[in-house]
Amino acid sequence: MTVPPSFILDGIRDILRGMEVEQQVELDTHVARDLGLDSIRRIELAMEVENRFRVRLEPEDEEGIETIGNLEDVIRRHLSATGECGSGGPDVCDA
Amino acid sequence: MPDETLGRLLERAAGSGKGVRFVDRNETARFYGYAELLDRARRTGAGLARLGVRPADRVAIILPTGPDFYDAFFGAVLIGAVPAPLYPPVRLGRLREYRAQTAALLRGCGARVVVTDGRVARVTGRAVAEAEPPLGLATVGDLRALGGGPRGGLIGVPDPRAAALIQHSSGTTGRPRPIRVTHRAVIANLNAIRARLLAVFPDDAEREHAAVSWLPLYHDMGLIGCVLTAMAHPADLTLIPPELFVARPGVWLRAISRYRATVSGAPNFAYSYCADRISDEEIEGLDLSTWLVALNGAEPVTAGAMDRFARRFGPCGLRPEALTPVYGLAEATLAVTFSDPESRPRQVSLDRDALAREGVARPTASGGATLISVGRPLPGIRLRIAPETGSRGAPGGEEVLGRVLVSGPSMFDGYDDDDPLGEGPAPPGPDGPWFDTGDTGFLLDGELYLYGRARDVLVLRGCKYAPHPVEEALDDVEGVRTGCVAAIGVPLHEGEEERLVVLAERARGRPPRDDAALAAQAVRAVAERTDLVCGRVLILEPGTLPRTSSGKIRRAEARRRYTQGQLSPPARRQGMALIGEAVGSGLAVARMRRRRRGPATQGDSS
Repeated sequence: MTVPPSFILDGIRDILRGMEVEQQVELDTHVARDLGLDSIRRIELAMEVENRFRVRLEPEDEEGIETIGNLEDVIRRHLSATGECGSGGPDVCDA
Repeated sequence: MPDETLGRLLERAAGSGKGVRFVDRNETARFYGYAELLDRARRTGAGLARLGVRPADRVAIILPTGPDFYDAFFGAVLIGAVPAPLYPPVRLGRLREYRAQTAALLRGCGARVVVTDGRVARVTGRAVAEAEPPLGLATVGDLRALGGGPRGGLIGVPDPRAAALIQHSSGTTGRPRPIRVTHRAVIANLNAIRARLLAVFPDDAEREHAAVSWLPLYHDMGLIGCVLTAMAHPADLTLIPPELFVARPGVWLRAISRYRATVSGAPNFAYSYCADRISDEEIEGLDLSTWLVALNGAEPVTAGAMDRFARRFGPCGLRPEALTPVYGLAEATLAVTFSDPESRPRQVSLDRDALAREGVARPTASGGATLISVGRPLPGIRLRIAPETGSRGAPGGEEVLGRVLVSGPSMFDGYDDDDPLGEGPAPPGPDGPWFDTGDTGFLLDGELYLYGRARDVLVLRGCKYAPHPVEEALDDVEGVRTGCVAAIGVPLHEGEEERLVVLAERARGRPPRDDAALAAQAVRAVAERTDLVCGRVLILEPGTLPRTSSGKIRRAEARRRYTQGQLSPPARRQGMALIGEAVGSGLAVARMRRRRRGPATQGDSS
């Protein structure tokens, strides 16, 4: 499945707006440094991303995530992968 | 029952029909009776034994909240091995630091094997490889398969004086240390907790205790206070993964409501987090009237958090008396004092000057500092205040501030790492072996009030952090005087929880006009290098921070002066040199508060 270019970034922006992050969010925005998300807020971001995109981020996916662009890449990889982690129902990847 | 062990607790619970309910992110729950958990643990234990784990071997456990954790923990216990739960990987965080920390913890406790699941194994693999536990890494699934079919009679009946588990605490330096507690100590603490709770609410046919917790299972309050206390009772326990609570705090209160919980606890921050973050729609239909004891521990208790929580959830049937401040530490297994769960937490108003300058607790009618009682020692636990050296005795009617010392049957047995610099488990004193908690406080009418701490640990949202990594994050910030930084935990406003405050001296010869930019850079550097967000950064004149004779920064003294408004540069005395101040990303808390829909938090004590 192909994903429209701004679909994921817009989704992430939406999540961050919901989290009351007021900064401008671009692909090169640094999650810790620019957004100042502490560990608790990062858990929240990860959970919201998983719920919205119906993906399950594996710990090794999260390994290199420093910027919003990195996060976007990981989500795109999951959405593009054919199979169980597509646009299925809630928490299809939870098993 | 003097020869009780953790294995026997599970065996006895297995006959009760009670068990543990695990809530998933859809808020559906799966129930496992203690009998089933015993059966699974026996198989896992057999697997561990077959792998080569022997009695007294340390078994590191890195698992999220779930039945696997019980399998691994009690599997180890049933063969007389010693479980050492460690924290699972952080989310969107610094995995490199996580791995280094985990490798250090594995080496520190001398883990013989690491038990985890497939998901965690893929990240912890390298940490494990670095620490080289002799038996490597095993998943719970592997161990159950290795253990074969159900079997009984595996219990090696360890000596109650033998080590029961290893828990980690930051001790007095902030560096996590493996704390060894015996079966006897754990059982003593569980009995003390239950005695206090049951004395207040006698067990009768009318009332069935049930507990709910979202606390991580590698944390003493989650493991001892929830998992083991519920099992000892035995009572049904509902467990929520901590990250689910963080993302959706309403889950916690809904579980209490749904499963008619009588006991549930959390660190102070969770109470304000819920008050601020749970929407009016979510509150509708919540029934918190069964909640008799809402324990508040693991970080300094604030009046602000408790008042907001009580106001916000009073309409859901929450009894204001339910809020129960407690105090404990991993070196005492867990619990040391409980306030009275039947009445509102006691508060005193004390003269600020007397507290800060004379070290005495002098009640005052108005304008004083409000301190909250964390209650009386649990049965069997002894507590005394050792006045700081140099402080003079106070006349009658006033209590002297001092170090909080603890003693009793639930004290730990020793640290598992053999660090010659480490403090001993229980330094002998005139009245027996007393452990210096590093906290300072005083006793008033037999109740303990905490006021600061002598140690440098940062306590933020119930977690303890060492100050050094934060201070070192500023090493590369040009314009900050290298090494002249103190990271301290203090409330930004009275009655609120502690936030990270960084005090940094400006490099010599640098103009004060750049201070604001410097502070902003410092905020970013800390965020980038640690998992922490600064509540405030203050740029100070060179030489402002108090130092020891050998030139080391005295954090506790810096903290005291900061809170008293006495941080002054050395030469000119001009009050606080608070020129550049960046509250920076610390605004997150203020923002969160706004997120709550519905009535504003009127009368907020801050």
